[in-house]
Amino acid sequence: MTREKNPVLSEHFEKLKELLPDVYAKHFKEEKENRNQKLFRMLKHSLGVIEAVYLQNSENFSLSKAEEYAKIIDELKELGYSYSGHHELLGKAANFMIMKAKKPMEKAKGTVKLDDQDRQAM
Amino acid sequence: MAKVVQFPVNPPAKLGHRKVRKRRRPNLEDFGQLNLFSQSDDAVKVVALPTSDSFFEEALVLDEQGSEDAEKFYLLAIENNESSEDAYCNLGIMKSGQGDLTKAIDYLTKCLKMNPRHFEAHYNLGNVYSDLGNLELAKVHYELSTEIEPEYPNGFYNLGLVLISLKKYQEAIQCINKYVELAPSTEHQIANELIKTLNSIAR
Repeated sequence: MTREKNPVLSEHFEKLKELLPDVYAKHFKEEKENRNQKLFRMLKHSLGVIEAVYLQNSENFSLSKAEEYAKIIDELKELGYSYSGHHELLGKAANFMIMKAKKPMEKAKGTVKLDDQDRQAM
Repeated sequence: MAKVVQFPVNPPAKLGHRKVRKRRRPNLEDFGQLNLFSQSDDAVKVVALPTSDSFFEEALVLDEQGSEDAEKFYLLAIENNESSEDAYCNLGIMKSGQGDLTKAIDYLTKCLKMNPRHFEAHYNLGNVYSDLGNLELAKVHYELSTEIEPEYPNGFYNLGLVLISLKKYQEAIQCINKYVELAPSTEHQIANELIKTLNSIAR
């Protein structure tokens, strides 16, 4: 069963919303904040799982994954949340990012042929 | 009565340009010769001839083209003792590009076994170890490459980056400065910015 809206009351509330937008927005704002906090809590939990995996087997934790971890924390900071992260893991990620700027490999070109040099006319 | 005899009229020869027409291919067998080229041109397979006279050089050409066949030719070069150490070095680079870092180290160390002063192998090993996150070993190999080939700028640059990662900022500044000294001016901008940042950190 659906409740039908009273047109007079609905008009009245619309007018109130226009007159006092802050009061009406507050409820919505709080709801949104709660949802964001919940998401942040979930994300912190996920980051904690990543840290636990790293601590269990740090040798086999790939550096590209460490970089992704650092990027998430960086984005969180940009969004206004603070999460310090795992110091060692962040350090590894930073080193990985620095080393990504390195110069590429150098091919060996083989011994230079000197066949045609110092040829003398007979 | 006189009889009118029709005079044969030859059409006048057309003067001016004359188009070239495709001639019919003569049947060689009419002239007592075997027709060896009877198949159509479309079916002819173009075979690329080797562009160089050694397996190593051929491998190098293929490698530059990004062909996977380069590996085969590098191995042939090793089998035939043609620039074996360089072939091992370049196989190491290929394996690193394919993400097989263990095999890359294997090939690069084989190169060093043949020539412990192979500067490209030391430099490339530095790159592989830094990819693996083993900065101490990367540092050793970059240092060796700069000792053997002190005129090669990239060795100093990468060594500088490793030193930054190891938080040895003063040494890193020296290396990047050396890179600026050796590298062409087009490469200076990023390096100079890096030095500026390092100076502010090191203070």
